Amino acid sequence: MGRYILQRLTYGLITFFLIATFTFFLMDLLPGSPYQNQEKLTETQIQLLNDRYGLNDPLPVRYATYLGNLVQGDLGVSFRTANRPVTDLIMERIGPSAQLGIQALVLGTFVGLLLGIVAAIRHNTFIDYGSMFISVIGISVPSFVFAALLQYYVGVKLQLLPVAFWDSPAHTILPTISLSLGVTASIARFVRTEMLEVTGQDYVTLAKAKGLTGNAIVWKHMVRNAMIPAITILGPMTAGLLTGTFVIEKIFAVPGLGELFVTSITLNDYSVIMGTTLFFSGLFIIIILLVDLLYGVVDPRIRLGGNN
Amino acid sequence: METILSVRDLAVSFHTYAGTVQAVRNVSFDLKKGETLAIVGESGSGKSVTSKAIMRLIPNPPGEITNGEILFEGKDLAKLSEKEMLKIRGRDIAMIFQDPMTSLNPTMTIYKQIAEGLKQHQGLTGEDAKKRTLELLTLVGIPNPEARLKQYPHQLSGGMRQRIVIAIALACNPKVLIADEPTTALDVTIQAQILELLKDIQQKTGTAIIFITHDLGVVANMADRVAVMYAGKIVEKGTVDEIFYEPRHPYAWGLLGSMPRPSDDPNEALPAIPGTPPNLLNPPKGDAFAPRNPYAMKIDFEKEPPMFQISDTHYAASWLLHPQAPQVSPPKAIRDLALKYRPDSAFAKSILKGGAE
Repeated sequence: MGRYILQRLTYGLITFFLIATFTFFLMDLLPGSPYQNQEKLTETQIQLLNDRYGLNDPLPVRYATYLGNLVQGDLGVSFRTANRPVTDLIMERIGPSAQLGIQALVLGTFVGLLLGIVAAIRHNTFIDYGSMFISVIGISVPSFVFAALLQYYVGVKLQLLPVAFWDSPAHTILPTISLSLGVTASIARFVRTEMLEVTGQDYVTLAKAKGLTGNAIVWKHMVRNAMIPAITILGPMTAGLLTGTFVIEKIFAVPGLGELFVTSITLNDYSVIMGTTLFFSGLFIIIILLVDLLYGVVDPRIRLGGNN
Repeated sequence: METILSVRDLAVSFHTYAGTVQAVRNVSFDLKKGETLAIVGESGSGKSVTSKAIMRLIPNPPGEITNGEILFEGKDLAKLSEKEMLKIRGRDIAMIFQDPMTSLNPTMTIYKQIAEGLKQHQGLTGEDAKKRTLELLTLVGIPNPEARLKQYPHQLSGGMRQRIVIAIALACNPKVLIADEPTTALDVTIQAQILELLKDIQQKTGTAIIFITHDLGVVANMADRVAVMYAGKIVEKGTVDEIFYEPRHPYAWGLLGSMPRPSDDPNEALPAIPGTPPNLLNPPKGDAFAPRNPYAMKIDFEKEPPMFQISDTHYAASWLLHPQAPQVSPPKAIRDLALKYRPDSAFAKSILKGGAE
């Protein structure tokens, strides 16, 4: 097990290095410059600024410098925000993003599981059709549409919840719901299919033959087995949440990482683009590893790394 | 001996898009305390459906018990509510399934799967449940039971898993044990071990067993009485001796005749029953076996034969047993068996009278 994790982490590092390299060279191809009011700057000023940020060095030199700094955990300074280190910017922004992502993931998984299980138990009834209708909508309508609808109806018309910003727990409700709908929908559909699949299994008949009640059969025998395949989609889904946050954070003016990322791209803030990309990549690599480990916890047949 | 389970005119149908499939058509039999009743027949003859119907494990929809009674200790199981059935299943009547590779929950430890029934029916938890589980594992011949408690099904071999399934079934000392082809999925040596185990358990606990199988070798080894099913009906029933040495129904002849024997000439083809079983969407008029029956008479295609009684214990549904039916000689394999093992029986004598060609 320990060996397996070590091996995966090594692969993860290689992936991370490749991403760092590709992003760096892609960045070089970006048109424009990081200076916003370029027309007001003289040629000399631009030269001086470029010198200061090392942008006049040849590409391989810049790459070497960049890698050297990266190994020391230095992501450079932002071009825009008064020379603040990128690590500081990320740390400052990570709170709201993490909170939003986790809340949405937990809410979506919970509601999705519930909808899927209930739909499967009440297969081919009104409840089943109802919950599948909800999930079809949840999958096909993009989250920013929900966000706008929720802002308009719940925020503006009913005046129940704040429309934007990130001040109190109440402010987190609408963005969380908007972000979680896609998760809810995917999980519900997946779990329903798996539950129906499991219903026909011999061990479920055996559980029934033991004299167990319907509830005990569903919760003890079916749900866990139905969840195993659902875990597979948790990884990509988390990725979806990460990208989903870019839009949702923008719409609800949440001071999070997604917002920072999107803004940095529009401003050609090289070091921030690189920093956030690498941060997301690292996070993603770790999440995928965690999901794989979770597999082994839920399904005893999977023992990672071949050790017993 | 006292009758513990009595099935009367049981009929089970499945409602499908193509129409109603009459899987079991008015089956009646008794099960006595401590005996083993084998239900034999080819695939699709309704033997598994009959056994599942007794435990009310037929999924509804699409399945439905359309007629009949299942009398157990004065109660008609066919009419009990689902809640009342919970107290019967696993406690009074338990079941062993065909495929041990799929009948255990892959994500639950052996201990939990056995102890579940103990908790449900006997309220055993903690140390008591553990003690009883260890007892059961020892009873079904699992070596080193303590170590197995925490293991998962995938860590055990097929034979071991079937022993666990048997332990689950035995957990609450059931009065009736239904074994639905419990050895079909196992290889031959393991089969023999499991059969020995079931016999041993029956001696120790006195449970009655309904043994579903299509393997006549297993029947000869296990059963006290046999019911032969064809197309959702019992066509012949009797003691194991009666079925093997004095069979009366041409289908029973066909089954026994197609059983390989060590004395068979290896150069000769194994006899088989020609044709296929009827489609139970539209069961044929008359005797369902008639189209495959070389002895069929005109009436077999017109009218269903009633159960003719041959002895106190032996019944068969064939027009050949009608007093006006012509004397026919059963196939050679059947004649040989009867003359060899039961030369003094009325059946053997009638064979001799009917001419030995």
